[in-house]
Amino acid sequence: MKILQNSDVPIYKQIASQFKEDIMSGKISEGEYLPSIRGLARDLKISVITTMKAYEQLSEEGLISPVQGKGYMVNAQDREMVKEQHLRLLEQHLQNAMDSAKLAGVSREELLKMINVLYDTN
Amino acid sequence: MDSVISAKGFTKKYSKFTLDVPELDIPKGFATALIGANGAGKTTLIDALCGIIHATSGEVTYFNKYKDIDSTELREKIGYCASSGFFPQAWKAKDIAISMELAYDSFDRKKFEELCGQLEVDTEHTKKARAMYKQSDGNRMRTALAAVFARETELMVLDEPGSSLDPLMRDRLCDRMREYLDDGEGEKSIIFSTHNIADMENAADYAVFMDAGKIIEQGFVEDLKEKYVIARGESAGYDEVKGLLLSHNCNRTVFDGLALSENQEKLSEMGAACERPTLQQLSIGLLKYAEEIR
Amino acid sequence: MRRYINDFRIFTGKTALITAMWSELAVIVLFAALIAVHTLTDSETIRGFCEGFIPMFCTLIPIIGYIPCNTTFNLNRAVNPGYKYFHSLPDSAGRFRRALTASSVISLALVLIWAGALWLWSPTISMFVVFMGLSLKGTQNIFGHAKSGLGMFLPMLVVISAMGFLMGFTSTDADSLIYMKPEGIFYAAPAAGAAIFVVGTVYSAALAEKKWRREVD
Repeated sequence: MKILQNSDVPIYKQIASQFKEDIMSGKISEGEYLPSIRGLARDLKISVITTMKAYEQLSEEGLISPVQGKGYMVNAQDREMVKEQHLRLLEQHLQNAMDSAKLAGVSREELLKMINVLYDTN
Repeated sequence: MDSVISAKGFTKKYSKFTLDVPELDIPKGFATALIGANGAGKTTLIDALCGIIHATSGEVTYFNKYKDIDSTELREKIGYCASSGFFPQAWKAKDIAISMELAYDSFDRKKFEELCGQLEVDTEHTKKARAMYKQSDGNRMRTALAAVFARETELMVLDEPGSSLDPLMRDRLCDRMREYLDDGEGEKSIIFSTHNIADMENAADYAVFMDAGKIIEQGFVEDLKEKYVIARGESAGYDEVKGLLLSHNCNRTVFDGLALSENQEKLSEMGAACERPTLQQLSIGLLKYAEEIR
Repeated sequence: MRRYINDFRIFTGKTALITAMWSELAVIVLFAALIAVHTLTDSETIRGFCEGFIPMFCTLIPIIGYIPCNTTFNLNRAVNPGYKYFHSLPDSAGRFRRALTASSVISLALVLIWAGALWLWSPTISMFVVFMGLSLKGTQNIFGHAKSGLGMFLPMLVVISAMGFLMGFTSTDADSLIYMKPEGIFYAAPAAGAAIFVVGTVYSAALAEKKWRREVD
């Protein structure tokens, strides 16, 4: 796990999104437990409440569930449905990008080029 | 959520200062930071909660169970450490070990020696170990921390533990605190005070802000960071947003101040830029606000 | 008994007791050396020096017994480092009371050991030392809880002066005092000292917990 302390993205969001990736990609599978809240805080050198908030967010999104006295367990994921959700989100963002491109007078080719450049730099 | 300490109508009156805490709940399983300027009453609150001084009035419940701070069983569970001059000046590590071993059931002399080693101060077996008065404030604090962490406790109450430490040691202290919480699996809690939260941001879960003997705000750090925003802008637009700001700071070029998140949209419309505060920014904003309305 | 000694050690670590014992030992050795010089030398000057020095020296010794008790009382002053540590301990008030009592008994023991050694040389001086040691301790126990340091210091001055007065009163020159047979006033003095000691020790123990908790000023 990589945490940037001075990023614009709050630390709890960084943690949540990294776990989300791991869960979606199957790196952490259904029925496994995430590290304990206080254990993770200790390892990442961050406060307990920050990890707790990350777990709560994941829990709200239905990715994990709290188990009394044992921590948080990864739920069974409907990958197809989640993929669908992400595709919809992607479509929406691309639409926004196209709208902005139109306003700024950026052509289709230029926009595609920009995406390519961003891919390379990431 | 369970409280480790819950106080009601808690006061301590001095001729020139009054601590007045109508209600205080400190959550179990977390690190709570008492934040305030010098003289805000942090030490008075800590000392009164730990029975070092006697409160004028009020009722306190510890661990949801104990009401009397003079209870021996309760005191065994609390690890208290003062901000300075905790141990007698003539004492060396050996005196501390002898005294603490006799005074507490759970003091682990070996662990004390280990912790002294980790924190790089004289142990009882150091040749020509120095007495407290011959050591720096930082060394004295480290020795005192080693002594309290060598006990088996359920609540640490540390008064300004970071102030006299160098950045490296402060980092080690934060690690030690997180380790303590982790080992407790939600049963152990920490209360610490500080007037400079910047270096201990990542060790604080719950924050209690104090000014002039009163608590001005308290809550979980992540919640507080969402409750407030820092607004910034050019000073030309200051008059318009002034009313929405809690703390005010404006020079001839720019302004900034703390505001409630619920006003974020209005502030944006007025041209101010808003950002999520760090705990340090939050502290400064809140303490300044308290000073302005005092 | 063990509990009392342990509580005393909680308050003093290892320093106070060991310092007091070493000082006592050093004093006895020095005293023995002076006596040896006094018996062995032929020089009138040195003999005179010893005869003048020993009684004066003897009267100062009981102060050694005063030290451990003084330390214990000082721990209940907020200005002194250690105050917060001791006040954070479990059963701290009870421990303070027991530590005070233990320190009085330790002082008593130190004074008696010293007086015993002295008895072999001069029973009368020994009696005065018992008087001074015990009344010093007793008055300190009575005034020890006082807020100001002066409250502890003044009684000590009074006792030392009383001692000087008694010695001057009972003899016309030091020589005869040293070699006088102990009778009358010589027994009355230590008895008075013992009475002051007992009253002081009981009084300070009775008041200790309340003082510790700041229930009375």
